[in-house]
Amino acid sequence: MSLWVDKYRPTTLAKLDYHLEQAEDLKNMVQKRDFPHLLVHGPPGAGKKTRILCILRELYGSAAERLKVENMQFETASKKKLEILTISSNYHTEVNPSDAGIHDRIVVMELIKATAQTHHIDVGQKEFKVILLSNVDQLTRDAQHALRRTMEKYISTCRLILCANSTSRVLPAIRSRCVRIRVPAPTGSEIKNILHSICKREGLHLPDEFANRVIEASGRNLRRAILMLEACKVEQCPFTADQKITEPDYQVYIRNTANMMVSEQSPKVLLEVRNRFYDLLTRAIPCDLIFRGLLKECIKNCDDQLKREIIGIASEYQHRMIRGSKPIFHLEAFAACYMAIYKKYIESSLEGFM
Amino acid sequence: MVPAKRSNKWCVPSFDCEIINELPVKRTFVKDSVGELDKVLPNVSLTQNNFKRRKHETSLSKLLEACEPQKLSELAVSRQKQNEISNWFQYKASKRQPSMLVLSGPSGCGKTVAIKLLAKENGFDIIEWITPIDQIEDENKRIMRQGDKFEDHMIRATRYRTVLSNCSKQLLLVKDLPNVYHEDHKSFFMLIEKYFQIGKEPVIFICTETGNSRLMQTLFAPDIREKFGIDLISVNATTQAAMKTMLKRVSGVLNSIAGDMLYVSQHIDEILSNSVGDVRSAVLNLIFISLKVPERHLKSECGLREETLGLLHGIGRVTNPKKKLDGNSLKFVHDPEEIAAFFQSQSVVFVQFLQENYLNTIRTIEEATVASDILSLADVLNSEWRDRNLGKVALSYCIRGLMLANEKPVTGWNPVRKPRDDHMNIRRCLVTAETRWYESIIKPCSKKTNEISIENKDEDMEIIIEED
Amino acid sequence: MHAFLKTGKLGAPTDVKKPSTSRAKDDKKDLTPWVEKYRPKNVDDIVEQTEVVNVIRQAMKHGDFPNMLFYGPPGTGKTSIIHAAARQMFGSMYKDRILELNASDDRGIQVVREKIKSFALRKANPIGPDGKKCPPFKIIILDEADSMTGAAQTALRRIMEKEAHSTRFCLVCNYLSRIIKPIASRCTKFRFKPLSDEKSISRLEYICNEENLKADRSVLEKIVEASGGDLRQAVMCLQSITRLKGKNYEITVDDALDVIGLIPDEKINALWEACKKGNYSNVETLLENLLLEGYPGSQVIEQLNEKVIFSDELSDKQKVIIGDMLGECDYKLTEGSDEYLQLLSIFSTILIAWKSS
Repeated sequence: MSLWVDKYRPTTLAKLDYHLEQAEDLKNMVQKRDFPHLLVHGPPGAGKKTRILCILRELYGSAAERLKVENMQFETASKKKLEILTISSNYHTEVNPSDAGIHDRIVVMELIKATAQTHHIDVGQKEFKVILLSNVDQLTRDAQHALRRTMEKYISTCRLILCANSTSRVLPAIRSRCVRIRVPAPTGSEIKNILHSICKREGLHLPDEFANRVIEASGRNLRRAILMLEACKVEQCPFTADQKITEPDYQVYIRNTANMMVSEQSPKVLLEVRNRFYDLLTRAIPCDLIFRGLLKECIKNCDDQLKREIIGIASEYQHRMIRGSKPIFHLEAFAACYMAIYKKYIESSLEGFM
Repeated sequence: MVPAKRSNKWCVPSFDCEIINELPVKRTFVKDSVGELDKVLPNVSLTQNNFKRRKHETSLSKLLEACEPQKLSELAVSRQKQNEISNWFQYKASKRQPSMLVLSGPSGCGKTVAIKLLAKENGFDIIEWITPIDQIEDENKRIMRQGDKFEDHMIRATRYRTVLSNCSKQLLLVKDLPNVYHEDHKSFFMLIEKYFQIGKEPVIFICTETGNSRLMQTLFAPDIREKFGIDLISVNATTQAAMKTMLKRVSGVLNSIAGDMLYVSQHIDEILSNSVGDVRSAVLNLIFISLKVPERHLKSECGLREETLGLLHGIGRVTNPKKKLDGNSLKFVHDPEEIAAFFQSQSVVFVQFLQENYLNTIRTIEEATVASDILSLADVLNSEWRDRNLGKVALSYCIRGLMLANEKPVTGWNPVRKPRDDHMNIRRCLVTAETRWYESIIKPCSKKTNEISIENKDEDMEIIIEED
Repeated sequence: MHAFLKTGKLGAPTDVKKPSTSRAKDDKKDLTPWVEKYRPKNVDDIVEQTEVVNVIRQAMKHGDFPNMLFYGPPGTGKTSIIHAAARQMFGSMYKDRILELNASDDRGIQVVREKIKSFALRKANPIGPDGKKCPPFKIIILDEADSMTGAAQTALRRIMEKEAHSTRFCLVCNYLSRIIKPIASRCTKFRFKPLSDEKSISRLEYICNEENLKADRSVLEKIVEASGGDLRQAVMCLQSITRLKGKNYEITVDDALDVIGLIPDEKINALWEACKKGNYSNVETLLENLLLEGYPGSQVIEQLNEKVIFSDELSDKQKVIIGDMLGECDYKLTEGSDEYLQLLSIFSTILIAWKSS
């Protein structure tokens, strides 16, 4: 049985639940002969992937849904072999090139070359194939430059659909060669409608108040909202208005870690905090998320000047983490720095009190 | 070009191992005799002449061989593990049925020696597979694949007895598997299957646990072991105490056979603190460090050699900086520059070690802030691959910074810990993390392993440094 | 960054295998990027840049060129002018006499040595195949010359001297400072000014007319304003809109903003006001929502920068503090830092800057 997220994913542009005007535009574009490269961007859980799949289906019909999963092999300059998981139909290939780490350039180039050169005779009404690259914003600079070159070279036989969370990290050169499709996160009421319709199809009753709380907790992330709803169903069904919403355990864990830092400031606590960071890292939690979670919790009871200071150090260490190679160093440095600042703040405010 | 004759003269070997001006005929003779002698070393008494000769010719590996334990009590492997292996020999291996044992453990913990001794004890003859380097031809002059040869060996080697030994039982020992099996798991499993059908003699595989070899996970995964009934005994790294007794014993042996070459005793403590449960390297280090250097060398060029500084000592000196009064200013006892110079080649590892251990000796959170900031910057510098010198800069910065930041180090007993693997190879993606977590709730039966309990698989290795 | 805004090389897809009905032909015409389609064919068509045009016109009269170096912001007609001039001078020989290389082609020192050299060595006949007179030289256009490596530029220097009798070089770049001195001194330099809004709008109006597009003048103004004097970007933007919306559609300001990726002013203003009031939690929620809408962080910074610079309410000192932070965060963003953290850091700085006044 597949998850609700997959089960109730709309498959055609006409069936999309929100951003209807944009869906209309996309439909317009697909019907034209000069389908451009696309750059689809938006926050996580906004429905980027759903839209891309709909576009593919619109382009090639239901044949684009017959997928096969393959491991493609690439060889780097130093003869190291890489295996990358690709999902492909006759008409398109989907790949997440950042899986290859620093060798992503080779993956991008080889993949586009391979796809563009094997020209299908029976492609039907379209004379091009589509390559779908996800997480483009995590590609290295090198790979992005390579991407730009290959984009021009093979435009006659293949089109790229790029998918990214934000275009800030995408080279301007790539941005300008694509038609940008911004997919904003759905609004609360849009999510609510979708949750209601899912429940209806599942034959469940969804109390309005409960739905609101799920939406609140999901932070306008549709995928998260649906996952939460399904998780709640497993825990308690039928739904009641005051039901507990299961939050991901790592969020709780991060929050508790932050509280530890707030309650006491000493090297001993720092050592414990470090162990908790290790715990989080072993569970493949993105470091950005840890930083954000910590920051949110840490600055709750600070004044504006202090907030600004703490945000400043957070952004500094987060940046260092990107440039360095060991996240733990920087997480710890942030924790230490925060604790020192906070301690000083508490002490000075106590003095003022007396 | 300098003529060949002269070139012989200017390259005087530093260990005085080889006599250069010897006539070729004579040299071959000497070599032969030594080869013979080495086999029976050290039990056979040597003639005066040969003994002297031998001393000059003794290579490090020969000395190492001499240090091998001769008795069970001398083994570095713990008593309990010895019993386990012994039991296996008695109850499993002696049944004249195919049986298989996998012996795993970190490198240099004495696995092979233990097997060899215990096999002798239990009356087994060892036939060891050594992966050939040359191409092998079968009787029809066709080149055989290594895998075929190995298979042949596994199944048939025990059919024939050697005339030389009087042991009644035989056993196959495999230390290095042919490389084909690292890639081709299937054919290895087929081989095992075949062995259990027609093989006769017990087989022992020795798996060294190193970072990149994953034999235990691939070839001898638990389900495979269960399927074929393969036994597993894993040996732990040698404990510090066992290491000490071993080194004492070895130093005795060395003194007796090569006394005029080595000063042994004074270095034991130093070796002890630097070894990480690896007997072999400890002994090697011991031999090397205590080599006598001719007087004239000692004075100038080789003077620095005494200054070996182990990684762990280095860490100790940085995390626990000692100051002394010099005039009216405080100075570090150990020059940060020297420490940095010593670890230049392993900057990344050293910084990691520092990060793992610096917190133990830090007293206030303010100092911790400074120190962690330094480490964070050092990591950035180390990751910058475009300039190779940055590694050195980062190391020097880190060492000096940490020493200065820590004004009043916490004294006390602090074991140095190995840095943990922070799992950089995992792709961090919010979507996957999130989906996986919810999936574990929605379908609890399929994924039980996703609990918050986080096992730390690699047990932290604790190494003790005495406060010096 | 605008140096890269080049789709001119995209080229028309050439694989039209359909029977040559008039429909297919129409299609093909459709497929040409407008940037190419509406590129000036004649030197006199060039918008603005009167001095440059005059000089070029003079040179054409004499039938000879010096080596030239065009510099100026992107989308001001640098490439167009040299193409137009070459087309007029060489006529039908145009294709053979021009070698164009841009940064997308691999342009290390090797390419300079081989490709440019072999082209430079080719002979240029003073009389064309049709018997007409034709200037006896070739033109090598090096687009985006400022992204060439120093070594490649040095190698270029020798070739420029050696082949001076038969080859003219035309270097096109955005930043003069990135061209090494010896090369710059061998060329006649031309500076291109950003286009005035008036001229750009009239050009867009002309295109709209040709393509049967309906667009209000205010919309075009907005497009021109957003593209900052870059005509190419403005034209591309116009085409993107038609791709999405289809023809015979009245283009609105919102469409234009969406395609260019601009953030509506009221959203930025709301954040600005919240900072002014000093309400931190308000700023936080507004920012979160802004990012949830999918607006890129780099764009936020760019628009904030405009706002800060032209603000009358802030003192110079405050502007410095904010500007400093904007620069730093922009750098961190391009390095791949988390958008939320960086933007939060900017807004908290602004918030404090307001308080300090």
